[in-house]
Amino acid sequence: MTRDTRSKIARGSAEVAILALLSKQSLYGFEIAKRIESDSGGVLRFNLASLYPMLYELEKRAWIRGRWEKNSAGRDRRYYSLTPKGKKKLEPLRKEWRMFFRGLDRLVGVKNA
Amino acid sequence: MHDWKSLVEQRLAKLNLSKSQREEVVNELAAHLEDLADDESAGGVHETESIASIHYESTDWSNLARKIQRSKRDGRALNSRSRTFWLPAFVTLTAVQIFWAILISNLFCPLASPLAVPRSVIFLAALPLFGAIGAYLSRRGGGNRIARIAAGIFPLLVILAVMSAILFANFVTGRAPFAGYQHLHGWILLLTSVLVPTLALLVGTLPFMQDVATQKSAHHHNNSGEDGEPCGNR
Repeated sequence: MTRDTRSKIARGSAEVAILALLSKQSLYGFEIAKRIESDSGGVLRFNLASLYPMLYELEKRAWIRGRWEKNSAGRDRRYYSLTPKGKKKLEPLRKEWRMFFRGLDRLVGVKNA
Repeated sequence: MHDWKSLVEQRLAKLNLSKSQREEVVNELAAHLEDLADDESAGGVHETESIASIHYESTDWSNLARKIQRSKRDGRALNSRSRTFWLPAFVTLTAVQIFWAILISNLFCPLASPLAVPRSVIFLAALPLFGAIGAYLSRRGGGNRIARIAAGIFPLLVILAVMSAILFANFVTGRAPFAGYQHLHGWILLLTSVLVPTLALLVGTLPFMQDVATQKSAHHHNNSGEDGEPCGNR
């Protein structure tokens, strides 16, 4: 697999992970990173350099919206939530990923047989 | 305790964004590092061993600044004013000119007979369509109502500018404006060549005065009788 393909897959999976997470509740950057890491069992990890450019990209596409609010500790944090456009986008993305994994699974199964 | 904000500010010195955008990014990244450090100190990690510090040291900040800049900047080829006004306005103007050229060309010979509908009436009747094109394109580009109206009536704004230039030139050269016309003819000329066409173009812009989100929301509300999803203003 080329580096480009790998990075496209990683990017795509990270996008759908963020959208899926924000479809449940509004979260700020640090919470998003922590939740994705814990919910994926440590498979998906975000750092400062990978998370924020992606959040800003999704915001530019108007799939998510950021708003400054106080967190439980009373600190200002930028909470992200899914926009109606993002909600619409999430379902086809989920379907695409389901198909991708199904296809990959079939392929790997054939090779192993 | 680290002053994450000033540290991030220093590292992102080359981040080329507007002042407010830049400040927002710096605050957000500093808050992330602050949370990371707090999270670790709560788990008993000493500040000097903190991953937040390691994270801060190991981040390629110039690469991050480049990525953020790319993500934050509007990737569209045209800027906002071009999308919402200039492009729709020139499309409208060109369409009106082409239509007028076709109308006065030989293609419309059958209409030139005395019994047929005068060209000016056909032209006036078609003007709302051109106003609509301008307003639609402006709305599609995210234009506000003023931009939509201006784009829709742009051909007349050009005519007004040309007429003003002629009047000014006449004034400078000392010639009477509308030379050869009687006073009443001047007013009729103004009415027929500016006011009536402006009204016709304005009529065309009217259906596009409502925002798409509002329209969809109203449509959804009418169809389902339920509350629609919250839609932001565009």
